[in-house]
Parts: sequence; C-alpha cells; structure tokens
Amino acid sequence: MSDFGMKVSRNGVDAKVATGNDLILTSQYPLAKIDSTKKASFQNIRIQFNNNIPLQTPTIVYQFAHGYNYTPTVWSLCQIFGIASPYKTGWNYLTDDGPMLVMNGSFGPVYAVTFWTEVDATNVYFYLYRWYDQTITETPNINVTVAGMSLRIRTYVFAEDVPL
Amino acid sequence: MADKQDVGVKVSKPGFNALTAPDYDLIFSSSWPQLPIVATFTSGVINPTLSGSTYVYPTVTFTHNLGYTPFCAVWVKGQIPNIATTSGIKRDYAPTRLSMDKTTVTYGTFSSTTNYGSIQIHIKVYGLDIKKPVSYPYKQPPTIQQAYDPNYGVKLAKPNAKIDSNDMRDFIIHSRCQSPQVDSVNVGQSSVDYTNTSGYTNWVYGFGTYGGSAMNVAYTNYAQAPPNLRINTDNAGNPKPNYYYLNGETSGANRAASIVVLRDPLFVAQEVQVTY
Repeated sequence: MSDFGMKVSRNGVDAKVATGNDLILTSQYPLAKIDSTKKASFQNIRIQFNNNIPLQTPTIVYQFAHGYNYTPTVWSLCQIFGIASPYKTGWNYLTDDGPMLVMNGSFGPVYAVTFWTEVDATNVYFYLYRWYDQTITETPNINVTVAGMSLRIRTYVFAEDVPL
Repeated sequence: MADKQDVGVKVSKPGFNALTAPDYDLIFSSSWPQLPIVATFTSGVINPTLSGSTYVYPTVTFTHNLGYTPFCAVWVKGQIPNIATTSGIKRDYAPTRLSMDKTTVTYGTFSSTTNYGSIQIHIKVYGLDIKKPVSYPYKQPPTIQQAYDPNYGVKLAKPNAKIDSNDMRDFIIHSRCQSPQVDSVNVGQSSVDYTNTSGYTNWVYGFGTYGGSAMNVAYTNYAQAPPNLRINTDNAGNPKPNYYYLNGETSGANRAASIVVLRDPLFVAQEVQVTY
C-alpha cells in the first residue's frame, strides 16, 4: 500500500477505508484510459454488406490502424441489421465475440455467421466467419448470407496493453 | 439511488468554470467513477492434455484478494473453440469460462476433440464490485468534439514514471484520456434488468452464478443455460429497445445476477462507413 497519493470516496464513506464502488478515485490504481487525441480510440463503424463472405473461411471485413506500437486493449460491441427470414440473430447485440450473429433455423446454430475482434501491435481486425456444422446430417442449407445486411460496431481502443 | 457528490475533483475544459460547467464541458470529474485497473494477470503458455480422444485445457486460477467480487475481462492469444478460429489476440466472451469471487479469478477449462494448440491468457481486474448495487448521476454526452489542449487538465504519473511522458500507460489519470464511466451496477438473485435512458446502447456486461457462488461472465447471445444477457430484447428474445435483462439461475442458495452498465467517455466518437 502506498503511503502517498490521492483518494476520493463516495459521500459518507471514509476515504481512508473505502474500497471497490465506494472509492471513486485513487492514485494507487491507474484508470483504463481511452486517448481522446487518437481518432481510432472511439469509433462507431457501420459496414454495409453488398457481397457475401466466403464459406468456412475467417474473413476480415474491416481493419484499422490503432496508432500504438504495442498491442492495446480493445473492446467492441456489435449489432447486425437487415436480417431477412428465414435467418435470425441470436440476440440483438453481441459483445466482443459470439457464435450466432446470424443463424439459420429455429433449433440451433446449425448454420451461422460468427463475429470476433482481434488485435495486434498495428491493427484492430473485425472478423466474420460463415460456417455450418458438418457433423449434423440435416438437409444442408449453407446459403446463410450477410449480403444485404449491415453490421454496426462500437469500439474502444485503450492505452493499456495486452502483454501476450 | 444515485447520489450527488459534494466533494471531489473537477477539471473543466479551457474557458469554462469548473464550478458551473455542465458535464459535457468537463474534462474530468470524480462524480463519474471510471474503471481503475487494480490487478493484471498473465499466464504462461497453456497446452492441452490428451484424455482419450479429447484435448483438455486446464483451469487457470489467479489470486487477487480484493475482498469483493470484481469486474474482470480476459484476452486470449490462440484459438478459442467454437468462437474464434484464428490464432491472434482476442477477448474471450464465451459463457461461464471466466469467473470471479472475492479472492480469485479463474479461466475455466474447456475441451475439444480437436487440438487447437497452445493458448495464453491475460486478465485485467477492474476496481468495480459487481455484487454491490450502485448508481451514479446521469452524464450528458457531448455533441461537438473539442481539441485537447495540453495546457489545461490534470495528470498523475505512476511511481518512477515521468510526468511529461507521452505514453499514457505511465499515468494513473490523465485528462487527455477518459474511461468508460460507471453508470450503475444492478444486482439480483435470479435475474435483474435495467432500463436505459442514455439515448444510445450502453456497454452492458452481465454476470451470474453457474452452479456455485462465483460470478461468471454471462453470454450476450444465444445460450443454452443461464447466465445470459439480453441487450435490447426481452427474456424471450423479442425486441425491446433500451431494455437490458440478465437471465440468471433459478435455483441454488448462492445464486446471484448482476448487470454492469457503463457510459461512453465524454468525447465524440469517430463515425466510419464501410461497404463490403
């Protein structure tokens, strides 16, 4: 425990003993920081799909340079629009990754499009993966398509690194 | 209920009085609790072991000893079965893989008949108690982006770091940067919900027990078992704008459910349009 620094607690709580949600600010711990001078730090990205993506192939549908010379922490939140019957989405929003962005049928994700975000020391990548479960012997319908749909992504790039 | 801070720290934008400026003309205010990083853990390389025809990845547990159940997130380098088929670094949001309690944070085991190779994980522990309800005053988002002025603001460097560093990792706080702000933590036993009034979809994270007392990260998607989180839908999956619902366990003496709602930082997002 540091002997010097600054603490701000919630109303009615002694800053000397406050922890967790009662401690608004402490110089003991760094805040997760989004740099307001970097445009890439906070973006709302809309991807309109006029074409489908390949089957069974992880596909980068958008990437951008994050501006750091190390691998930063990234959060993303996405939503798919324009899904037409018989396809549907697992739920309206996904956070960071999810296997059922678009799926076919009512009984599970037999044929689906998944989403995830990846980051390295240069770029942030948004992936889609159109797949089907080859172990299931139902009549195949692998024509789940993203053409005509749009993907809305909100993303944060933090200054803190991921040391992997 | 939200409470108003009578004491704290405020920093206004250049030309504005910190005592009277509205939220969107402040650079920093301690009335907006942000997300401190109170611990980080990085594993070594994790290799699966072959058991019969199944590759089993071991459970990895780290001790934080915070005395409360913190908000945690995990990044994985390597393939994540059924989620991401590439080998780069990504955040893992698979249901029930990441769990935490007052003492430890655990990345749970998984297994597959396919050998996905080695993985490595990094966990960030944020100083927010996900089992203690709290809410804070509404913060009005900005509509106009104002340039950062290095002549105004507040910064506090880490021990042994230079105060004039341009590496934001060297700082505890820096008014050039902002965190997602904590709006509320809603806590229930089997389920909990939240009505959003911010005008945009928040960053929402759900947590719930999964057969024990530890809190597990909830899925934000189709899932077979609780805990799972519905964003802008009701529990049946029907659209319900501005409504968040955490579907938790319905039995178990230690069951608990939690929704953490975060708000955007007070600067304007860059809008990007892409055609694929």
